[in-house]
Amino acid sequence: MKKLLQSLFILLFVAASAMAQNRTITGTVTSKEDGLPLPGVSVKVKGSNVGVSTGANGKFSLSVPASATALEFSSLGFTPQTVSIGSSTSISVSLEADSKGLNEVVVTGYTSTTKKSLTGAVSSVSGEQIALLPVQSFDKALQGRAAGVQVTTNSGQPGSGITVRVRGIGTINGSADPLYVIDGVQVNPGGLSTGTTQNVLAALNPADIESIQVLKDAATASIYGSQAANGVVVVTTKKGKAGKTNLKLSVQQGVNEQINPYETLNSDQYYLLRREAVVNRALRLGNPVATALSNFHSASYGQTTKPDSFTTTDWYNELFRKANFGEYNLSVNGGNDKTKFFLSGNFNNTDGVVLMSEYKKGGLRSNIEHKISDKLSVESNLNIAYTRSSGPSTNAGFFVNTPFTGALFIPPYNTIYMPDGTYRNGANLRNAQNINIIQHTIEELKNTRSFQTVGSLALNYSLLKDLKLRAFAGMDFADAKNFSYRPSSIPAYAGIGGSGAENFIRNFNYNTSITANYSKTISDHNFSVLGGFEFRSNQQEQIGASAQGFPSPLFTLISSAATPTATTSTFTGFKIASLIGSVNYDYKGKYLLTGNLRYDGSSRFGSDYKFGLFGGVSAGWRISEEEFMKSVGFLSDLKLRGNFGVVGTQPTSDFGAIALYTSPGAAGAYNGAAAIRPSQIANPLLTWEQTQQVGLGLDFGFFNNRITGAVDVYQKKTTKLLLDRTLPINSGFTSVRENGGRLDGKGLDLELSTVNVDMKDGFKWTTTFNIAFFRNKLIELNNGAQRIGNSYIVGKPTNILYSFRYAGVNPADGRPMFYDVNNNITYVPLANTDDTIIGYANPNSFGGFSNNFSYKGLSLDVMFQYQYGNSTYLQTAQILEASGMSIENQVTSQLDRWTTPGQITSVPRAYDGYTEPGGYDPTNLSSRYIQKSSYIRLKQVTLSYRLPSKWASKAGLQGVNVFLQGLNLATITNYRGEDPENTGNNLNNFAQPKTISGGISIDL
Amino acid sequence: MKKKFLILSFALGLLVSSCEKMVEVEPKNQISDKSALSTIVGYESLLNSVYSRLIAFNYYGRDFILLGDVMADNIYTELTYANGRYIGQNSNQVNSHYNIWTTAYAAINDANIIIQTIDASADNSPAALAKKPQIKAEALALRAMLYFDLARVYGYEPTNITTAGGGFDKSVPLRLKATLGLPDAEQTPRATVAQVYKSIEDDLRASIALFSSGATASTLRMNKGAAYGLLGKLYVYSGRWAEAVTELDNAMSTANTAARLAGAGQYVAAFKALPNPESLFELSINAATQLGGVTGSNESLYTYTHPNGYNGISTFGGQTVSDELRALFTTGDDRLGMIFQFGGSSAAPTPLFNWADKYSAARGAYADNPKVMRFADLLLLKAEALAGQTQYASAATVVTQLRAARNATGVTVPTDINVVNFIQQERRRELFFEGHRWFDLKRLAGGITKPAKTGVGTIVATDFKLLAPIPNAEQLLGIQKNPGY
Repeated sequence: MKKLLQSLFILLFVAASAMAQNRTITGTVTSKEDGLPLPGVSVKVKGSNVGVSTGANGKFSLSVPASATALEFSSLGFTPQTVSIGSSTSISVSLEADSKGLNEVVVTGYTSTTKKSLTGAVSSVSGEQIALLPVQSFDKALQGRAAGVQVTTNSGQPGSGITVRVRGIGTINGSADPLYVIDGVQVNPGGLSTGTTQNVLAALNPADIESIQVLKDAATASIYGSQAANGVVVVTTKKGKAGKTNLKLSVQQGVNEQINPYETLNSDQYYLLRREAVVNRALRLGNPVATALSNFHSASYGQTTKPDSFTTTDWYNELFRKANFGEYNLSVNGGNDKTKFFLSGNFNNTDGVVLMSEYKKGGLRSNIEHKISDKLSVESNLNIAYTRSSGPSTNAGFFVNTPFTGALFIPPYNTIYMPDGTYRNGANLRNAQNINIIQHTIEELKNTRSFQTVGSLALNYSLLKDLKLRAFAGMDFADAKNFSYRPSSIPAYAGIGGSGAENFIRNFNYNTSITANYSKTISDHNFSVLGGFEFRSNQQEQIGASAQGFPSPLFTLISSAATPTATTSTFTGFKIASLIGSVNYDYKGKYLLTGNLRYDGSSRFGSDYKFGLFGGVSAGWRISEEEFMKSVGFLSDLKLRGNFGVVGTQPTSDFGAIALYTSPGAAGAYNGAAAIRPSQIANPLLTWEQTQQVGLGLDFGFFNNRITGAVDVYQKKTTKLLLDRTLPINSGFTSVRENGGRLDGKGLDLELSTVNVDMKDGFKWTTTFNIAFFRNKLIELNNGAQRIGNSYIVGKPTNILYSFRYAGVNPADGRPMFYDVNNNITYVPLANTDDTIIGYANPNSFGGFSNNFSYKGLSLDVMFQYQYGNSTYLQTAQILEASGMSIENQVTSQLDRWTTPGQITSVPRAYDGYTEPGGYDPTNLSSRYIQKSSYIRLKQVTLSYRLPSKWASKAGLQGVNVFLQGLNLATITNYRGEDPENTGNNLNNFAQPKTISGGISIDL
Repeated sequence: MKKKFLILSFALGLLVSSCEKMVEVEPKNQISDKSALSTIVGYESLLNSVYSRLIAFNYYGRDFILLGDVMADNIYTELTYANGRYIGQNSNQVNSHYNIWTTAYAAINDANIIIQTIDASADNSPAALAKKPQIKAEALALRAMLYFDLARVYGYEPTNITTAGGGFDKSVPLRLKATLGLPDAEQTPRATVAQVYKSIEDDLRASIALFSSGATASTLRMNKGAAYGLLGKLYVYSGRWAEAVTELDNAMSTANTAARLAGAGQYVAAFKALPNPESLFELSINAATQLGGVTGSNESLYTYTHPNGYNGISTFGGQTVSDELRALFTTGDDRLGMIFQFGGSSAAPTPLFNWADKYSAARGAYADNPKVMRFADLLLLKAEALAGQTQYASAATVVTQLRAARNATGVTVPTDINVVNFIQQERRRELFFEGHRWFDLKRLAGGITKPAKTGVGTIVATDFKLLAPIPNAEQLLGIQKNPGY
């Protein structure tokens, strides 16, 4: 069939060109790298449509008109080559693998440019780099690959949301998420799920991605105006390529494993530590020790004396498993001059490492381009995905019924099951908050099923030779059904007969635009101008209900329950209308200038500031193109860039500016009649946060581009921060959101790529490295305020960790000590006096470092990713590192508690009930539980082998690639919690797993 | 050409609607102020908001009903069982006090919006026109009540400014204008007691003129009788005795209220009825939606005043009847039947405590309506006003009338100046656990003798803690704090 198609193509072209006076040129195309023939290379006569593709053996035969002067050879992944024909009838070419480099296309939103003429600060990640990664959403794949883009994985639940920050944080109450634009569609990131956690960006299959660009500087991002203050992530999916149809199949299978950092006490250690705490308390309070011990034994062991022996159950390990995953991709790509297509299907089946956690996603994509006439063309991109995810709640906090806290804290002498095989519960389950966490995890049902589509349609029309019009409409639609159920078989829910909740969410988000693009070259002056109008609408609706009193655990839908308990229905939405304009100018490709303007009106802005103007200018000077630099031999490229822009962040509340009346619902009704009341005072002045950013960058290439890179420095100034102002309570309102204050930031991004070794025999070693430094400082708050609680203090960076300073343990008596405000020792630190800044959760620097070694078809990628200088609050440690002062199990470090006078240790003596008379609870938050959590992680190792095409072609295949890879293989850190990437509260943290996988990808 | 047309029309289609309209989204969970009050139903619902704010736990929903007894001498808070509730208030610690500021001013703003805008409301249908006077009357009377409560919590009364108050005559900020926009939200300084009392009087007079007859009005809403009653009480607090008698008589007149004094033997039963037949105004609380489950077991009147496990209902009960109050009753008094003996969490073990059963959950777990104004309260205020004019015999007659209805015989009500103290004692016997005691002791400026078990001793009338602290957030925005804080 394939052969037949090929011949048909050839026939077609032969037929088309048979009319002129022709001669036939034959030849072979090979790869320069390994000398093997390249199939599917497009061979075209320059300046015409006459062309052919090379066969499986790399050979071609093409009948060319007499007027033909040269042949163009092009293939995906190779640098195109033009060879002049002369009088020869046989031409053989060896193509060089595409280094992309300066001609790489950079999509900057409504237009695109090349890396060579780019004037802003844009980080690019190519689809190839991430295609094989077993991540469920592409945003995760950005981690460590783009300088200045910080990616934090909050949860190990497959397909869960993650945090992306471009060039640090410049807001207090606004959103810090970048704007995501997928093939022109502005997509809202975030969760779709109330049951588990599901990332809307996961609907896009990472293998479908051609490239990701992160617009970091305000001048480039300003084309997105009031939505661009946190940067813009522009994603372009793969398009069809004219020529031979390519079929690509890839299969990957692997296993995920939980990384467990905790070594907890066994039952004997637990008993001794707890006994010591109880005895210490009795002695301190002057109570009889015998009574205290007998109370302790009856409460913890159900008998008045010490049990004869203990068993130890590791609940944490019982909860986790080695979880399999599989990822399957199929894509078809091809077309002719008129129609090109890229079709793909994918299926992902990933089990989470905790029991009951799973993720299944199936997706389809159809990207089609068609030329209706020479002037009119149409493009359509359509992506549909169905996702089903289930798993336990991963909300941070001390929820005793969630697995990651429940299984850690339960005293180990409890077994999971009774001798008769039923779950241990009730009076038999001791000191465990009455919760058998294994039973809860298995029997509580939580899942989200969602349908999502991101699709667009665009018409392009060449009105004049240089004037192109484009009409675009794109939508991002998602429907999610959330389900959660707590059966009456769990004792905690038996009293109410079990409870259940169902909840529907619908997101409907679309944007339409009409743009005109005019480009003109007059001698050495190149101009292009873009102007247009855009409209965006975003709506979210939710409807849900809950009920309790189910006839039996077999009935799970709320309709079968006896008592409906609550109903919810919400609506929210916003609209943005904008005029956009952009100008590009360059002189000889040497002096470059770009200007962007956007005039945004938003429903979120107050009536007095309904519209705002944003924009930026950036300029570049390609110094290496100057005559005087031509003599500098080692210099391949040098470009100085400067940019300045003003962008915005919209208020987070869709209706934050208008006066609102709310109904307090049933809880606020009076005598059966509904009530309404003013809930928000209008602030017609409410508007966007405004960020000014100025930056300077240098792109460089040395020694024939063996060393390339870019360094960028920038300063940000965010004013008109969204802040709350306290109102006189006697006005009937307590606060109003307004704009005020100022937050500054500055940073440096560095990207470096080197070709360390490039040997004749084909061995090549390349390195890429990136690092970003960022620091912000709160300059001013609204109304002259100096601080907001302990979180934001004028003159300090944001993300403060504020607490008491722990001073260790008094060697004489084992009591915990703290420093007071004068650096003296105190046993009872005073709030608002002795507490101070312990650290900041923002890192000083972060980035990635990767190496690629290749030899012939063999390739090894080793990537590290790191973060330096941030502190983290370890809430889990407040419970696990408590000297056995309460019932929860402890980590073994607590065995170092103080026991003997003169002993030097940092763990206070065991004292049941935490607080000694005249003392302070040492498990309250203090610097003891705040830690620098810098880390460097071996993020990814991929070993792949591309079978020689000789072998592949024998099997009738064009290419076969087998690979093995590992993720999160090793981490160097002092962090005592699960995952140093988690920068927030680590209670109930579902850490990222370690992943090992293998796979094969086949080009048919 | 056809295709060119296609594109251009597509483009035009997008540009047609005007820009301002294009970026408007109407909220649905909330509605904008323009549409909220476009019909009379909006005003009715806004008025309901005032009532529903009154039943907040920090107001009539609990604190205003119990703290008056906790901070005075009717309640002893048993630490072992109270689970931290009212421990500070019972021993009169600084800053352990009423905290109605936020709730009351939010309710005042609701009322202000009604009073200020309802006359000009666009809804002029016959039904709307018929309803407007009643809605406005309720809003005016409720605003008067809110200011009266604020005034007696945060300031002195006209009668004791010079004595207990040492001349401190500041009351609360007087806001009679609705906060419709940010400019209206500017800080307002505290007005004088005289200004606030004048405003309350004006509001009540205006509301009485607007109310239709109160003879059959629901006592679950503010009504004509209650407005008269409040006016009478205001005059008693002001020492304007003659006017007080007139208005209290108006309040108790069958033309103005449906409330009646319950007959002998009916005291306990009346508190279990809905509404209490003696209520001129009581607030309705919905057990299912407002006191369901955890909320009720943690916060309700029942849970504070009943021992844990009593009648199988779990509570945080620790507010017990003080020995001193218990000792005031003579055998046979119906009101003694309201007090029962029980342990902290079971019937058997000693010590037993005295518990009051005024909030008995007769209508379902935790569900009891707070009584804002009861007939007996007005009767005793009238007696006080008569005695204030030295009409001791008439005063004694009124008291005797009440005692007869309570089967409280065997004690002769004095007909001389001693009736003045007897009236206050009778108020204590009649109105315990209804929140009156603190205000009675405060306005009479005689100091507070705390229950012996609290170990507090006596709080003199000039003690700064007689006034509640002004919320810190308001002080930061320039509101003058109360002396001593």
